[in-house]
Amino acid sequence: MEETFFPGRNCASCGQPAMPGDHPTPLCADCRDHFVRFPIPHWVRAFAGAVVILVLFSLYTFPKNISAAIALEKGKKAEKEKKYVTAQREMEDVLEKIPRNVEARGHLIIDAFYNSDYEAMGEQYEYVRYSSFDDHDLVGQIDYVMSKSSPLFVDSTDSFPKFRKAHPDLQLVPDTTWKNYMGKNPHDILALSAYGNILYDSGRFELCDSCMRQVLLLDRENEAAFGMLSAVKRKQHKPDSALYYNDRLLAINKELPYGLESRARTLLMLRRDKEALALAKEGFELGNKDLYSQTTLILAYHFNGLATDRDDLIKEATVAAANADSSDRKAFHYAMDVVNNKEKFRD
Amino acid sequence: MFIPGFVITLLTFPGVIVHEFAHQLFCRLYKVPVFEVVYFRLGNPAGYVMHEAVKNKAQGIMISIGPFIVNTVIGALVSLPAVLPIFRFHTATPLDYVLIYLGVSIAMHAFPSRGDANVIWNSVKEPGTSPLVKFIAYPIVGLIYLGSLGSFFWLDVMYGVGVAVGLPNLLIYLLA
Repeated sequence: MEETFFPGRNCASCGQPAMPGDHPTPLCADCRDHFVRFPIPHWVRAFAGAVVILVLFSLYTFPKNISAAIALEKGKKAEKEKKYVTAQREMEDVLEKIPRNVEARGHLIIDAFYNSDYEAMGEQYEYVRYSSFDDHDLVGQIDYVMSKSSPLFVDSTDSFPKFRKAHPDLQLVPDTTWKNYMGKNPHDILALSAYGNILYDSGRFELCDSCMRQVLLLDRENEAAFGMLSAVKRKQHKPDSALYYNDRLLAINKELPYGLESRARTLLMLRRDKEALALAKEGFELGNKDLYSQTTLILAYHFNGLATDRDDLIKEATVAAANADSSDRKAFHYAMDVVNNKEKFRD
Repeated sequence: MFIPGFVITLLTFPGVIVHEFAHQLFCRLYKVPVFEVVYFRLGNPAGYVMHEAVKNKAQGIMISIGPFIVNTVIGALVSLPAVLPIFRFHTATPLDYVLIYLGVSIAMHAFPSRGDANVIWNSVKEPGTSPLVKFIAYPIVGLIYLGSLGSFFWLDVMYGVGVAVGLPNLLIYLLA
C-alpha cells in the first residue's frame, strides 16, 4: 500500500527554506535528495541478499534440470506423434541427466517396446516395477505393452524361450516339432512369428502369409507380422499389397527403421525411386545401421544411379556381412545379386 | 476454506516486504520523495509507503502498480530453479521447497491493494487529467478492485501459484 503526504509550506523535514519549483511538498534541496533516496534498511538488504544467494545456489543444477525437462517434454510429444525412436532417444537423454526419474523410465518402456528394443524394455521394467507413478495413463500404457510382450519375459514350462533353449538352431527344427508345439500353445505369438521367419527364409511364402495372418488374429497390431507380410508380398510381386502392410506398420511407429526401409524397398519395386531413397536414408539414420538398413540403402542408391555412394556402402556392408548370421548374409547376397543384375528385383 | 487474512499475510510476509519495496523502487525511479516505509507489520495494512503526492499521473499509476511487475518477476525468478526438481523430477531438496515458498509468497502479493487503487482514483479525478490517462487508469482501478474481491476466493494464491509454478512449466512446454 502507498500513501501520499501533504505537509505545510516550509521544508517539512528541517524547517530550512524550501527549494523553489512547483513541488507538492516544500522541501530543501538536501532533504528532497535524502527523501528521494530514502534508505533501504540493512535487514531488507540482508533479506534480499539471502534470497539471491539461495537462488544462485539452486541455479547450479538448473541448466541440467531444464535441459532434462525439455527432453522429457520433447519425448512425450514424439510419443504422442508415434515417433518412438525420437521419443526413446529423448528419454535416454533425460535419464543420463536425472537417473532416478521413474517417469522417463516408464515412457522408455513404451518407446522401447514399439522400437522392438526388448532388452531396454526389460531393463527399465526391472527398475520401475516397484515404483509408484503419478500418471495413471502412463501406468495403463506400461501394462498394455508389458502384457503384449509378456511371452518374452514369462518363463513357463511350455513358453517359447524354453523351446528355443531346447532347439538352439530353429532352422533345423522339423515341421512336426513346430506343429506339436503350436498344438500345445496355439496363442504363442512369439513362436508363430519365429516359425513365419523360417517359412520365409525357406521360400514358403504362402505358408508364411497364413502364419502371419494367424499372428494378426491374436494381435491386431503386431509389428513383426506387418513387416513380414510386406516382405512376403514383395516376394510374391504384389507391391500394392506390400505397401498396405508397410503403411499399417508405420501407422504404429512412424519412425520404425525396419518399417521405413521395408516401405523404401516396396517403393523401389513401384519405381518411385526418389521417395524410396529418402525413406531408406531416414531409416538408416534412425536405426542402428544394421545389414538390412545398409542393403536397403544400397538398393536405393543403385536404382537412383548413385553408383559411388552405393559402392562405398557395399564396402562397409561386406565387412558387416562377414560377421552376420546366415539369414542376414542371405539378405546381403540377395541385394548384391540385384545390384549385379543376377536377380530381378522389379518388373 | 476460510483463513483469516492476517494469518495468510503473516505466513507470506516475504511477499509484503517485496510489495512495499516495489513501491519504494518506483518512487526512487521517478525521483519522488519517500517519507516513511513500513515493510511489514502485524496490522492493517500489513505494510505501506508514504510518499509525496505525484504530479505526473502516469508516474503515479506506475508507482501504484509497481508491485504487480516487481513481485511477478521476482516471484517467477525465485521459484524457477525449484519448480523442476519438485514437480517434474521429484528430486527436490529442502532448499527447493524454501524457494517455492518464497516464490509463491512473493508472487501472490503482486496485486496492488485497494489503498493503491484509491491513490490512482483520487489522482485521476483531479481536474486537468488527460483523457488518455483516465482511459488507462479507470480499468486499472477496476481490475485492482476485482483482484481484491477475488482474494476472497483465493485468486491471489492462485495467481502466486500460477506465476511460480505455471510459468516455468509453460516455458518448458514452449521450448520443447
